[in-house]
Amino acid sequence: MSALPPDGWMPIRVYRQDTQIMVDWCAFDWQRAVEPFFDQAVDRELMHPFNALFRAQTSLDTLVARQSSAYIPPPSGFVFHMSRCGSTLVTRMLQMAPHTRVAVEPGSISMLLRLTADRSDEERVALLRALLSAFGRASSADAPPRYFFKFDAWDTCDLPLIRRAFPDTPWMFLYRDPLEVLVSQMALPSGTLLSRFDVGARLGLDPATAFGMSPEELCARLLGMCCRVALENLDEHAVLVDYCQLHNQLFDLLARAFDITWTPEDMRHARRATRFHAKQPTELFTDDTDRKRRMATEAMSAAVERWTRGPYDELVAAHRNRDSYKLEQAT
Amino acid sequence: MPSSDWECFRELVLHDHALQQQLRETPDWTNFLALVLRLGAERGFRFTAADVEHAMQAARRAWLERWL
Repeated sequence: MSALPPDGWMPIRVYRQDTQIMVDWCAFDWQRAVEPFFDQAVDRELMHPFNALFRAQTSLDTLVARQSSAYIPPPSGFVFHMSRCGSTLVTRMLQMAPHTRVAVEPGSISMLLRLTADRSDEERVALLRALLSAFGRASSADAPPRYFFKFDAWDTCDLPLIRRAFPDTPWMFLYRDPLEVLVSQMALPSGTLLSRFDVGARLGLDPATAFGMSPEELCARLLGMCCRVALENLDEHAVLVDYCQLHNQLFDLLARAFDITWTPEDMRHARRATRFHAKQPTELFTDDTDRKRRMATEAMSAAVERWTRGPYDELVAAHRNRDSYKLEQAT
Repeated sequence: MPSSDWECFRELVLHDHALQQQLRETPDWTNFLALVLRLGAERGFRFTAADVEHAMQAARRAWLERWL
C-alpha cells in the first residue's frame, strides 16, 4: 500500500525485503500497553485476530515521504542508559505520568540503526525522524500525546545521531557502578550482547577480534563507550541520573528533565509501583547492590577497571560539577 | 492459497476505519471469523472460512519466523 495506515497504528517492526527496508504496522492501543517493553505489548496486540490478520506493510521511503507532509510534535524525552541501572523503573514512572506514552526499547529502532549503518548521517537522521515521529501519531479522537522513548542501552552509541534528529528533545542518561552492571549482564546477557558481530560493529572492531574477546571485555568496552558517548554529548538538554538517586529523587528528576507535572494521585499510584520489581511487577523490589558486588569475579573487575572505570569516573565527575547536581543534593 | 476476493477484502479493511473498529471490537476467534465472513459477503466478496483460517495461519507463521 502506498499510504500510511490510519492514525493510531504503530510501527512494530523494521526489516529488509530484497533491496528495500520495510515497516510492519499494527493497530495499537496505548492505554492497554502496561508491559515493561514495547515489543511485549506488540506480542499481546497480535494475539487479537484483527491484528494478526490485518497487519500492514509500507516501505520506509513511503513513511519518510508521508510523514514529512504531516506535522507531528517531536518526542518529549529520551531515556538512555547503561542497562541494569533502573531504567525500567524510570519508564514505569513515566508511563504513570498524565497524558504520556512511552515506547520502551522498540526493536524497530535498533533494527533501523543496524540496517542503515552504511548510509549517510543525513539519510539516517531523516529515517530516524520519520520512524520515531510515527510513535507520536494520535488516534483520531485524541489530542497529540506527549511521547517518550527509552532506547536499548547499546543504542546509546548512536546518541549523537538521535540527538541530531531531535536536537530540542530533552534526554536523560542513567548510570550505575559498572561492576554491578557487568555482573548482571554476565548472569543474564541482554539480547544484543549475545551477538558478538553486532557488539563488535558498535565498538568498531572487526568480527575476528570481537569473536576472540571474553564476554567480560566486550561488555566492559561497550559500557565504557556508553559512558563516553553520554559524556561527550552533554548539553543543556541533558540530565544525568545516578542509580543511587532513583529511590529518593526520581519524581523530582523526571519533573525537571521532562517537564512533568504530577498530581498527588498520580504520584501516590506511582510510588506504590516503586515497591515492586520494574521488570517483574509481581515481585517486591529488593536492593541487590551488595549481592552483585559479591558475585563479581576477578575477570569482571579487571575488565571494568581497564575499559569502563575511566569514562565512568569522568561521567560521575561531570555530573557532580553540574549546577543541577548541587540542586539535587539540596532537595 | 487465499482467494483474491479475500486479498481484496483485506485491502478494503486496511483503508476503512469503520470496518477496522468493528473488527477490533471482536477478540473471540469464532465470532471474529463469523463477522469477517458476514462483512465480506455483504460487500460482494466470495471467500470461505478456510480462506480466512489459511490467511491467519500464514500471518502467524510469518510473524513467528520474522527472525529467521
